[in-house]
Amino acid sequence: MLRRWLLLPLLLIVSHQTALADDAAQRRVLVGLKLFPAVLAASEALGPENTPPNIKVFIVYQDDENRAEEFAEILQDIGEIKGTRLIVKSLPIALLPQYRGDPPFGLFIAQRNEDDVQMISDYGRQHNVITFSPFRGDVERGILAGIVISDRILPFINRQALNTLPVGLKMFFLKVAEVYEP
Amino acid sequence: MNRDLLRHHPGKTQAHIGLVFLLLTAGLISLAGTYWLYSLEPRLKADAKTQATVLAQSQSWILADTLLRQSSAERTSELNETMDEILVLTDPNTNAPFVSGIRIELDSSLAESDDNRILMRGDTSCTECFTSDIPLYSKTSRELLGIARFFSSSAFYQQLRDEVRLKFSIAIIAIILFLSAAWWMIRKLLQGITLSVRRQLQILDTLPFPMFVVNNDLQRVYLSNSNAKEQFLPVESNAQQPLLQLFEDPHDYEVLLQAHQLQHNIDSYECNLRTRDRKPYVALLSSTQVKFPQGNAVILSIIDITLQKHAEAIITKSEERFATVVDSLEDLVYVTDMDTHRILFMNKPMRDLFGNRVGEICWKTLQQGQSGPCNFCTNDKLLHADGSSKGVYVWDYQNTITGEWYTCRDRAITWIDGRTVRLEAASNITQLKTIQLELEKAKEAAEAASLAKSNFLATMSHEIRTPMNGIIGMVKLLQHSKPRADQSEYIEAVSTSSEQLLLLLNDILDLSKIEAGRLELELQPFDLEQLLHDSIVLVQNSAHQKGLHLEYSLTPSTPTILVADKTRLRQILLNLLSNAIKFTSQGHVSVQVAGEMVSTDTARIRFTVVDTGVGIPEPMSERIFDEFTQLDSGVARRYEGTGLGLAICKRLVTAMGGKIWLEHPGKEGSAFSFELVLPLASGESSLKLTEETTSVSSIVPRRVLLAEDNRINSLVAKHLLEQNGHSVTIAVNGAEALTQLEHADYDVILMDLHMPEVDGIEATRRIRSLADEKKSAIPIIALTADIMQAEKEKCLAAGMNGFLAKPFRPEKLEEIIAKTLQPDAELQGLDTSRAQD
Repeated sequence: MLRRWLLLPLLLIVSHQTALADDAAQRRVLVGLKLFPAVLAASEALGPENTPPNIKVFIVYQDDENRAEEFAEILQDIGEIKGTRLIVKSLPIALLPQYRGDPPFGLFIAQRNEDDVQMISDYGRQHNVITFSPFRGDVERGILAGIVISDRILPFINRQALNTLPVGLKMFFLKVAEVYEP
Repeated sequence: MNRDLLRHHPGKTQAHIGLVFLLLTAGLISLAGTYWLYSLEPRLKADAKTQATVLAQSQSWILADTLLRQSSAERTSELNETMDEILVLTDPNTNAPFVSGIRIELDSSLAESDDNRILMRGDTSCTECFTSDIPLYSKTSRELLGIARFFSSSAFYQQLRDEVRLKFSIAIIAIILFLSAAWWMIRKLLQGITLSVRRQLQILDTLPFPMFVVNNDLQRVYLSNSNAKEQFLPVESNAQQPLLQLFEDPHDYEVLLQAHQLQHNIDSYECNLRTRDRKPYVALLSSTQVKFPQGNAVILSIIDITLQKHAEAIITKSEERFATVVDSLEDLVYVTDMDTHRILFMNKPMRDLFGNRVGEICWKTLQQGQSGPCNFCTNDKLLHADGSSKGVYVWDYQNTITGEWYTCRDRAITWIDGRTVRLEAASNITQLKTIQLELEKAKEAAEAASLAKSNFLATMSHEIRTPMNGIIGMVKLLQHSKPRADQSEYIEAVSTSSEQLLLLLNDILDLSKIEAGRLELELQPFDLEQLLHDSIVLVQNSAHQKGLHLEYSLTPSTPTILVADKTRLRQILLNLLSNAIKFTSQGHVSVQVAGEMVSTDTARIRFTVVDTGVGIPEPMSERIFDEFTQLDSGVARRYEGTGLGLAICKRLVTAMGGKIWLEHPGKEGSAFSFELVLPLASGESSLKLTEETTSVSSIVPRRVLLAEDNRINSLVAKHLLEQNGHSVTIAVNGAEALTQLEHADYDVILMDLHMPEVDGIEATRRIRSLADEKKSAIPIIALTADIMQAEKEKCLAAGMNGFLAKPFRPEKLEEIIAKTLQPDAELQGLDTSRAQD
């Protein structure tokens, strides 16, 4: 009993730190969610001459389906990008390898384990998916796009992942983006 | 000077620390510059750029909203307006615009042509401005519509940089100033230390004795002063035992070395050292271990005691000589402290007698039963009140046990340490004392004999004078009794013989009195010229009888009213004149008197009696003033005399404080001189002199009572008085005189002193005590053959009025009667010593 009471302050501190980290991650996810459509819009695959009727975007998550759904709804509220309707779906990361449908145009990581980043990166390269992670370090691990937050919030592009795409991003966009050269 | 010990001396240290400070300052400046250039200024710049970016981003949303305008012209116009609004925003701190220029690059989807894709407002060529590229997203579609490049002013940054740089520079300068001040203080401190060290080194060099500083095992010489270098051979610092060569005897070096290996200091160690000039050098070594920053060291100082040792040797020899001399004395010599009475020195006889008692209290060890300083402590007789020595105090002491006599010579002397001590040298004078006592007894016997002789002479004088008075008196009577011619010749022969006999008698008596010290001078004023005149008159007849010319002279400057015993002075003159006349057969005899003032009230008078007589040969000149001395037997036979005259003259002159001598002996004729220093007579004395010179002009008949036990003398006196018209009544003693006086009236009494039953003194006393005032006041004249002064004083004390010595001349008798009977007459002292001259 005594041991429990002694552990309680530690648990409170750990939970508080975890909560703070969660808040920061949450804010990065929200910021990333605002920038993610700009990345999609910068794709040269979308343009006046090539306007698909819709594009599909996945919000992948680890286990918080509700949160992922909330994000998906926020993204869905944009409606369309460059005249192309946006279809947003949430999907657990664990199910992504087994996903056999048409690959999405873009993939937004809303919640992940670090171990899953490589798998998502690989998935994006294999299926020419614009992968986007708001989490720090994921672009360096192979994710195509992310955010860099300093005095400004700028898009963060992995040059190597970008080069694997059959259709790249517009140079105008890359002017303002931070590019990671592996 | 070897300064190895001071390799890190303050001068070098000062330079080192100065260099350190210089490097520190330079390093600080370099570090500050580097920090400024590579850290602080870029950081400021980055912060300024971040600030500019944040500002630009805050304005970018306004521009993004403007981009959504449908019409290109409208969009362009509105973008320009918006950019202008942004460009007017001003930083209140720097009073400069935040943004100098804005350049917007539009997405190709918004531009009708490439020319319209770029919009610019303000100064977009600013090179010092911070540029921030801000993406402009569509709020709705999230597309990237354009990129706005803000040219933010660097005014704020420059102001911030200037402020920081100023503060930074001030801080650096302050630190440099602090370092400089610290360096200055350290420099001053080091300068002080340097000066102090230099002074110490100079002091070491000026030390009057050699000094070395060596390491603890004496293997290395750190330092040696100039005195050491001058006196000793160079000390090889690199030698194995550099100090060894200093010592004449290596054993001394070993002693020193062992002492320091045991870490012992040496206060004083005497040894012989080797000098440059190879002269003997006796040193007193002292060594002290000291701690230096470089390690322990030994200060070796050397004091030259060669002269001191030499002096000690001399002193030791001197002391030995002194001890030999003092110890060989028979006297007991010792020295004591005058305050503590401790014995400081005893010579050998003293030690033999008492044992060595040096250091002990004298009255405890040299005396017995004393509780304090004894009679030998003569301190009060040795020192004056101011502490100076009175000289030698001599006193005699008889040991009550041994009976031996000692004469002690005490004196305060200065002892070797400066204090005043008492030195006593006691000599055994027992033998001397015995002789002295015997001499004293002999002296007493001689004095008794002399007194007896004097008494005998006085008695004999009286006894002879009494009949002589009868003889002379009777002769005088016979001469007046009209004898025949042949009888007159006989009577004259008797008179001359009696006169010579009286003269001889007086001379013997005078000599006796002088030898017995009983000569009494009667000082009184006199007229020198009168005295000369009287003396000449007295011998004039004798000179005329021999056909000699007699004269006297007195220099004009000679004072004439003087004070002396004129009777004795006249006696001297008469003796010399008589001798001169006696020994001169033809020619002249003269008296020359010259005087000079020696002070305001005294004069030196020289009398010279010159004759043209036989003279005095040279060999006799020395003995001429001795008693009973005459030229030779032949002369003595030719010239009558006793030989006492000059002897008496010499003694009288000497008694008067003068001297007498014979001028130019060996020549024909003689000249005797004597010189006296005589006081001048005062006015009162001169007046008395005048009174005394009065004389009797005529004889008044008197009723005379004559008290005389000698029948002949009474007969002589009676007839002499009666010849002058006096009536005379004779009494044979004092008692009868009293009886006669009771029954008759008399004008004067002539009183003999020595009479049976009642003598003249007693009779006088009784007369003076009579009830009848007239009879008790009757003048009384003493008639006596006793011519001693004491007798005269007795007469005065008894109340007598006059004094006449027997034998007397008839005119003297009349003279004293006349003087005594004068009103207010006092005692008339006539010539007592040379009566009947």
